Order: sequence, then C-alpha cells, then structure tokens
Amino acid sequence: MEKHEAPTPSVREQVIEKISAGQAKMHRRAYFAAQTALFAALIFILLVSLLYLTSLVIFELRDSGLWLAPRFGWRGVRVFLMSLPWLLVIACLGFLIVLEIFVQHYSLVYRRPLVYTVIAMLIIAVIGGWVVARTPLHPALLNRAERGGLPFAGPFYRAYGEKGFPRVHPGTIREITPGGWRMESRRGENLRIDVTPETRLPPHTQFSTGDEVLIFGERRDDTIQAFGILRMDDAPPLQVPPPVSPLPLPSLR
Amino acid sequence: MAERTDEDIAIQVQRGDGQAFGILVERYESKMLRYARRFLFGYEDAEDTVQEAFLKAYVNIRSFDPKRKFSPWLYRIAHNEFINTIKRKRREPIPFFDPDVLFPHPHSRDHADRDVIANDLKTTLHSSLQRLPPKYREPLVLYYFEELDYREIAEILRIPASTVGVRLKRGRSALRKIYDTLNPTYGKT
Repeated sequence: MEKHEAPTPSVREQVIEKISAGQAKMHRRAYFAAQTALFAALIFILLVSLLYLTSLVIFELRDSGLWLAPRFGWRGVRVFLMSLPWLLVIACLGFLIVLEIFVQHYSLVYRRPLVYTVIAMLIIAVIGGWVVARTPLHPALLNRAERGGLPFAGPFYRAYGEKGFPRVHPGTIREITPGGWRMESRRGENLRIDVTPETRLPPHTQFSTGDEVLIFGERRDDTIQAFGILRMDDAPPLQVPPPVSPLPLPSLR
Repeated sequence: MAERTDEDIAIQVQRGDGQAFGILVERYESKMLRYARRFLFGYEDAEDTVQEAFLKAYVNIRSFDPKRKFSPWLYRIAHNEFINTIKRKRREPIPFFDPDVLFPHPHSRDHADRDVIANDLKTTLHSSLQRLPPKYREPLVLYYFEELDYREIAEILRIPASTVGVRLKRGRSALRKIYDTLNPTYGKT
C-alpha cells in the first residue's frame, strides 16, 4: 500500500507556529536600551582606562626626563627604547585593541578601513593622555602611593617613584671636580658623574653648583658614566609631587 | 492599493502583532533559503538555519530602526546565523581577523556590466562555489545571486565598501582558477 507522507511545513509555517506557541518571544525595547547603555558604558570605561594608562606613561616619561633621551642620537634612542615602561605600554596597546573590537560595532567605525580608526584612537589616546598627564592627578597619586594609600595602582607608582628609570638620573650639582661632578639625586643619594670628552653637553652652557640637571648614562654603584647631560632649564619643568596630597587620604588606622 | 513596505510591517510587528511577521517571512523565505543554500553549500541544515535566523529576527525586531531598510537588517541576522553554523561545524576556518579590512583600497564601483558577467559567472559559480573559502563565497553570493549592491553587502558584512570590491575581485580570480583546474580544456579549443 502506498504510504502518503504529510508535506513538510514551509519555513513560514514553522516560524509562525513557534511564535504562536510562545517558543520565541519579542524582547522589550527596554532590553535593547539597557543593552545599548551597557555597551556604551563599557566603551566609556575602556576609553577612560586607556587615557589613564597613556597619561601614566606620558607622566613617567616627562617626569623622569626620559623622553628627552633621543636628543642624544642613536644612543639616546636606544636608552629611550630600553627604558620605556613596557608593561604599561603593552597594557595601553591591549586596551586599544579591546576598544577597537568594541567600537567596530558602530557603522561610523566599521565602514572605514581599520588603519584609519586605529590611528584615530591612537591620536585620541596620546592627546588625551598628554592632557591628563599635565593635571596634578599623577603627582597626587604618586604621593599617595608612597604613603601606602593607593591599593591597586600603588605598586606601579611606588616602583617608579623608588627607582625611576635606570639610565636617567635627575639631580642637583653639588660640586665640580676634575673629570666630573658630585651630584645629589632626587632621592638624596650622593653620586659621582664622570664627564668625558664623549659626553654630549648642551652648546654654550656653563654648569655650576646648584644647577638642576638630567644625566643620561649607565650607573655603576655610585658612579654614572654620562653620555649626555641636560640642564633642567632646557627641559620642560618636571612635575614634582606636592608635599601634601590635595586628595583626602583615607585613615590608615 | 500600494503594497505595504517591509518597514511598515516591521512597525506593526514591533507593536505586538506577531502574525504580521508571517508576511515578512513569506517575502524573504525564498531569498533567505537561496542565500543559505549557496553560502552553506554542503551543509545539510540550511532550512533549520534560515528558520533560526527568522526567529532571531522576530525576537530582536524591536531593535530594528524603521527609518532604515529592513532587508540589510535581516540579511545581517542571517549572516551571523550562517557564520555561527560554519563555526559550529568546524568544517571551514573563519579567521578572527581579516587583513583586507586593514588598509584603504582603491575605490571600486559596482560593475555596470554585472548582468553580462553574471551570466557567465553564475554557471561557474554553481560548479565551483563550495570550493571557495567563506570569506569570498559570501560576497559573491550576495552580489551575483541576491543582487545586492556594494553598500548593502558592506552593511551586512560590516566591512568597508572598498573591501567588498576587493573580496569580489579576489573571489572571481579564485573561482576562475578553480574552474580552470576542474575544466582544463575550457577556453583552449
């Protein structure tokens, strides 16, 4: 006997059947509004974090004077690259990538080649970071971290505040000696600076005791073999942490 | 009386008329099935995937902006569903990052001679489509079979329009190579 099979229902019939049976329910508008708000908030948090990290890198470079190292040619560029706070730089790049993935959701971004949006975000991060780095935020946080009142970012600030960068040494000339100087570092150490004919000095500059200087070079014990020296006046003013934090400190008791 | 637009019907569905969604399904059922069968060539569950795409469209219909066109929105949902199917089956790799979207490409426009090329190409496409990677297969299907323009394809795939042009060009050359390999005597007589 011939067996008659029921015709397979069309996609339309199956879809309507599932909708009628309540197997598919329309989301409310509030659901999408919440989703959009959450997404925007995430992007905002990522952007703020990126700006914060970039500004911290810029702050450390400016505060230490490391960003002036490339003035001394290839050796200076090498010192600059070797001394960069790579962990922070990599964290910045990580945030940039995650942010790029998130903003690809918007037509303004995905309609353009990736290189354009990445460059645009890099510019925003650097300009924004530079603006934030000029505010008293990081000096205040550094000050707070050194007092032990900054739980999360504290170790980063303390590591920078205690050690600075290994090949950049800011300080004050205390004595001019034959073949070099005695310098008091920012941390109060008494260091010997070897100045040789190879040491690059700013043209037409006479150094005397009391001058604030930036020494670039390798440190061995208490002696620095200077390959480049700049007077602080030649460099933009450094942001010295204020003696008292403008932010209210939590009680440590 | 003029036929109601997709967007008008979508508004009706957004207001809670679930049955009106049937009209939209009816209008797009054959297109979506064609898109699925060509893009998911060799995948046995094209119909289930299309059904799933329609149900997703229904669930998310209130996120559709009626000021924009309905069809690219629906195609986008279908595209996501198809890509998920390919990922689930793990038969073909879907790269997370496509270098084609990285740099700007010389501005390429829709071909005015699409129909002439299309007739030749459609025959080739039928026999060789499944051998193309999904990255090139999908724009070819959307352009030559669904007859969408570069801008619409770019919206569906969420890539720059110039990248659509690049993928179509590379897809066509890849297709020609595949076809020549399968038919070594083609064009030599």
